[in-house]
Amino acid sequence: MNCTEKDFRTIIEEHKDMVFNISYKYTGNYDSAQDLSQEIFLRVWRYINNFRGDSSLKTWIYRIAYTTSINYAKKHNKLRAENGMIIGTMKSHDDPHRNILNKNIMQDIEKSVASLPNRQKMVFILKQYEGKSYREIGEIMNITEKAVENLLYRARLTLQKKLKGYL
Amino acid sequence: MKHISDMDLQRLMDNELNDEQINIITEHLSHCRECSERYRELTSLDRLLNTYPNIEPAASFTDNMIAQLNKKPSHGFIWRFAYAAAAVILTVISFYAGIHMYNDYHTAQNEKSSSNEFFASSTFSNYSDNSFSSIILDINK
Repeated sequence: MNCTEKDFRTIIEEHKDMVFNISYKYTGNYDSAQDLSQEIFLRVWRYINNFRGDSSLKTWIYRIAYTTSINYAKKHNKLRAENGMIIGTMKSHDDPHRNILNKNIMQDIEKSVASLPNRQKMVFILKQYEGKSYREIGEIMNITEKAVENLLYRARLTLQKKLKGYL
Repeated sequence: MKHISDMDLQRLMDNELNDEQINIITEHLSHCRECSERYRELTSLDRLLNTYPNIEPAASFTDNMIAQLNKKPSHGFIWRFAYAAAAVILTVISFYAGIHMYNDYHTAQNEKSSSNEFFASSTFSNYSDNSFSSIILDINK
C-alpha cells in the first residue's frame, strides 16, 4: 500500500477513537494512553507499505495496537492506573453524593481493568468495549478461539472478585 | 440435573452460540434457579463494566501525530545509537587485543623453549660425562 501523508491523516481520523480507547483502557491513564496511541500510529506509519490487504485495514491496526500495547507494558513494566482523567469527563449529576459514588465506581473499574494481566486485558477490551467476536479476537491476537474464551473467562472472574462490592 | 457450565453461560452472554444451543440453555435457565442466578451475576458484571465510558483523544491529536512523522530522531535515539556503537567498537578492540596478547605470549613461550633447546644442545650436551669439573675446565679455556 502506497500511503501519502494525506492518506495517513485520513487513517488517523478514522481510527483514532478506537486506538485511543484501547490505549486508555489498557493503561488506565490519560497521558499514557496518549503516548501509547502515538506509538501505535507511528508503527502503523512505519509498516503501512507492508500492508498487503490480507485482512481489513482495521483488523491490521487492531493487531498493531495489540503488539504495541504488549511492548509498551513490558517497557514501562508496571502500568499505573491512578490519576486517570476519566473523572473530568464524566457527566455531573445534581446529587453530589451520587456523583462521588459514580467517580469511585469508575476509578475502581478503571484500576481493575488496567491491572489485569496483559493478554487477558486485551481480550477483555476487544470483547467488552470493541464488541469483537471470539473469532475476530483470535485473528487479531493470533490465538485460538478456545484460548480467547479462557482468557476472557479468567479476566471476568478477576473483575468479579475485585468489583464484588458493586454487584 | 446437569447444570450449565460457566463457559456456556459466558458464550450465551457473548452471542457465541447457535440457535439450537441458545434454546437448550434458555430452557434450562427457565427452571434452574442455581444456573439462572449464576447467569444473573455474569450479566450484572457485564452491565457494570459497560458503564466505563469511552474517552476521546485531544482535538489536536491528528495534527500532533502528523507533526511527529516529520520529526528528526530524538536525542534519546542518538544517545542510544552512540552507546550501541561504542559497545561494538569496545568489543572489537577487546577481541583483537586478546588475540594479540595471546600471540605475544605464545611467541615468547616458543622463543624461551627454543633458546633452552639451543643451550641444551650446544653447551651442556657436549659434556657427555656430565661432570661439573669438566664444564668449569671448559669455561676456563
